[in-house]
Amino acid sequence: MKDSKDKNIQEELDKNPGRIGVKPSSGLSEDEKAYQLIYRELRKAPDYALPDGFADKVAEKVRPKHRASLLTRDYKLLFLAIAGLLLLSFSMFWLLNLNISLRALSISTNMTATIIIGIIGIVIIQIADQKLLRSKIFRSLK
Amino acid sequence: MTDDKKLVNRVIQGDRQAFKTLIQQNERLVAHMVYRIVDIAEDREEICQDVFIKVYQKLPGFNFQSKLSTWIATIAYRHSLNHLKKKKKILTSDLDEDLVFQETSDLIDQKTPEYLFSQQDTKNLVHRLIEKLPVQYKTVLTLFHLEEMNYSEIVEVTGMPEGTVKNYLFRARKLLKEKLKHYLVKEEPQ
Repeated sequence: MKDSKDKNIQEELDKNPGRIGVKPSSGLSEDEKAYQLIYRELRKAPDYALPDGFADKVAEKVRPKHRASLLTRDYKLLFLAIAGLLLLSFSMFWLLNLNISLRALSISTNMTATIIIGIIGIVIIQIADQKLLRSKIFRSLK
Repeated sequence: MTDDKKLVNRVIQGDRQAFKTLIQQNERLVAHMVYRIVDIAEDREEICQDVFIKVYQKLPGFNFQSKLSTWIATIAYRHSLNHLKKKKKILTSDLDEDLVFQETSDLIDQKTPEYLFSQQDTKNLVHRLIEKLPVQYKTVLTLFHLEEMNYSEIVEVTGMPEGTVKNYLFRARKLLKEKLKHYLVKEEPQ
C-alpha cells in the first residue's frame, strides 16, 4: 500500500518532469515535497569534473601504440637481417667446402668454424638488440 | 549516429584530433559514472584515463549496435566495478539497506538543528545521501536522471535485467525520500 503511494508519486514525476522545477507548495504532502527535492538534485551534475587538458593527456598516452607498430616493423627488419646473416654464413661455408677436399674437411675444422660463426652471430644479435631495439622500447615508454 | 561513425573511423585510422574530440564529447559522462561508483577521489582521474584508453583499444570492435555514448558508459561502468573489486570493496553487501539507513542516520543526527535549516545544506544533504547509497542504486540513478538514458540503455550499460533496473530506481528514490522526509519534518517548526 505504502509502496504503491510512492510508486504513484515517482511515476507522476517521471511523466511530468516540469513539476520537478516547481517550488514545493504547501498543498503538497511531505512525500511529494521530498520527492520533488530529490528529483531536482538528481538532475544536477555532481561537483566533480576532469581537469583541463584531460583529452590531450589521454591522447598522448595512446601514442606508444603507434610506436609499438614501428617497433614491430623494426623486429621484422631484424629478423630479415639475421636470416640474411645465416644465409651468408652457410653460403660461405658451402663455397669453402668446394675448395677443400673431403679429407681435408675434418670434423675439427667444421666444429671450429661453426662455433666461430655462432659466436659472431650471437654477438651481432646482442648488439642489434641492445643498441637498436631496447633503447627504442625505453624511449617509447617515456 | 553518422557523425559517430565518421568520428570512430577517423580515430581508428590514427587521427589523434578525432580521438581528442571523442574524449571531450564523452568525458562528462565517464566522469559522472566514475565519480558515483568510485569513492576514492585520488583514483578517479586515473580510472577515467584507463576507460578512454580501453575505448581506444576496443574501438575497432565497436559495431554500432548501440549509441557510442552507451558503449563508452558500459566500459566505464565495468572498469569502475573491477576497480572496486580490486580494492576489495565487496559489492554484494552494498545492497544492505539497513546499513545504508544506519549510515545516513548518523549523517543527519550529527548535525545541529541550526545547521540543518539552511536550504543549501538541504541540497548538500541530498547529495551526501546519494553518495551513501549502494553502488548499483547510484549507477541507475545517475544514468536515468543525469545522463537521461532510457531503461533499455541502462540495461545495456549495467547488464541488469530491466525489472531490476526499475526496482533499483524505485527503491533508491524511496530510500532517499525516507531519509529526507525525516529531515524535512525536523525543519517544519521553523
